[in-house]
Amino acid sequence: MNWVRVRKDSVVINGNMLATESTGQAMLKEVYKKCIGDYPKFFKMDALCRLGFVASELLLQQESPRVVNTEHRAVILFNRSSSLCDDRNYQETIQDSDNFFPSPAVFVYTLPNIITGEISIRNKYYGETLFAVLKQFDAREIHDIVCEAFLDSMTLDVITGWVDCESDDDFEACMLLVARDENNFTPEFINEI
Amino acid sequence: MSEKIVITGSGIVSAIGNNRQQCLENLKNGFSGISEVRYLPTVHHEFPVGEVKLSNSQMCDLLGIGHSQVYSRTTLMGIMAVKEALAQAGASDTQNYMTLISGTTVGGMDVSEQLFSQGMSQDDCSNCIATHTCGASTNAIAAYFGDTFNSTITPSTACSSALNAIILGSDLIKAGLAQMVVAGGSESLTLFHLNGFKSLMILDTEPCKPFDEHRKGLNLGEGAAFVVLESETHAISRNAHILANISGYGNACDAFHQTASSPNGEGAFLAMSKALSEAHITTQDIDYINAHGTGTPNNDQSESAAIHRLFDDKVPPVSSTKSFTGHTTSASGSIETVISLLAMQEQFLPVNLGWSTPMKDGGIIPITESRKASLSNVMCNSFGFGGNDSSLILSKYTK
Repeated sequence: MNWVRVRKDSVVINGNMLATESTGQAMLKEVYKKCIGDYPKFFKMDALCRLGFVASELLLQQESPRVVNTEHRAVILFNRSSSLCDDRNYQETIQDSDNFFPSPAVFVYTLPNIITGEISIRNKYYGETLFAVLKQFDAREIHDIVCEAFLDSMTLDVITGWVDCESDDDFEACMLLVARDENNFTPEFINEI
Repeated sequence: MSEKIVITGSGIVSAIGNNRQQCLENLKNGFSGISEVRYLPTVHHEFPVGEVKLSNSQMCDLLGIGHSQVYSRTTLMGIMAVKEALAQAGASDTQNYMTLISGTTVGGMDVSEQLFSQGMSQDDCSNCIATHTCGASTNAIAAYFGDTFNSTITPSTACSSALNAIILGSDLIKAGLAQMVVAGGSESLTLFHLNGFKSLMILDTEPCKPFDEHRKGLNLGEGAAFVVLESETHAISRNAHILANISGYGNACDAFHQTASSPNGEGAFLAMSKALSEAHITTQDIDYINAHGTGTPNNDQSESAAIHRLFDDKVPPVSSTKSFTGHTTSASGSIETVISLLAMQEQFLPVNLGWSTPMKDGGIIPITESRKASLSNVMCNSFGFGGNDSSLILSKYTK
């Protein structure tokens, strides 16, 4: 079972540290340029989406061949800060009537599930997507919701994980690709990574 | 094959009426509810809207709610529509039994905006937290009905929320997880989403013109609608009058863009195809499509492409009743389901107002003159931001 973890100052793929020179947003850009590089829409994304996008790309690069164009893969993500990071940015654009500049480019990111959409758009996944905002990280709840998703016979595997962005430079993501018959997918495993 | 899911009650509040009867009359007479903004405290009077023609305090009076407690407009409209649906289903006195599923994305934001503009005190802040979230607006609807509901669910998938609520309700009954479900959605206008849609540059300054070559965008609306769902056996066992059955539904992602729909309408096409296959009927059996038809250049082009792909050159009558109600965003799926249900019961085709010129690129030609029609199967489309696309088929009930 492939997994990645991206924190503000480190990137780990299947337990192996990826060498990075920067931190925070700069690190996400650095990883994008070094390891991804073919999706300029990255630069339009808000911090939460950049985080989720980079994590999903690193995760899916471990898959061979990479699965695209399917309705059998679900994207089920969780966090606790919803889209607050971008909500604040949007609020700034409408806070002051003398300096009022609401922009669609910011507004579209004022929902956390935009990141499940970004991953689906990138990979042409037409299946189930869910973004749940939890009170706090809860490996059992994540595990149970993913297992429930498999009750739908159409879903063969799930990209799941935690993608939380408190502010532009304070974030954490862990993401894993779980197959329907994966025995090692347990709350303990989610906690470990 | 699993058991039939039937509808035994419906309720609606929208720009064209505060109940089923008023909405039906205005639909039949071709009277739109879209007009200059009156209740929402916005400066943007250039955008016509489909407001429910009642103030919050008028709604409180109608519902016998005192003015001391703070209710969001989403909750008040929701209570009105749920009340009407329960009464029609003869289920007003059931106890601790039903599930309430209300789709919304705005939730209680109207209250937060009001308090915010007055300069928030500490108390206001806690009031605001109590009413702000989507789930809070559903719980407040349920609370009005005392012990009637034993659980609530609040799906939030932008403009397909209410149709997804009905789909979820049907799934819960099929899975044996609920016996009776009141499902739909409620959404009030707010400054936040009026300004947000303005910033997306998809609002028309004139009444919207779905599927017209010269369409410029949508008019926002508000409202609530709910249906009472149960299994056929359950309905028969309590001698309920069955209005129609839900014969099929589908939900699919478009996987194209966060806000725009794909040019070939992939998500819409998949959703409609799934609904047809679940209903075990063919395209020829659909007698009317209540389209999502927002009036934006993008949606109507994409939806037309999807309908043509699926129905080829045999497209049944299509109309967008958003030309009456405005785009009621998260409530639109259930408002249009109830409109489709009324059309089936009354056997008429609701028209598409504002249409005069066919789209150059082969778009849908909607129906513009109301007429009697025998409707056995009606398809209702509802598509959300991010390409969360749903389609539902209502069928005339036969034992």
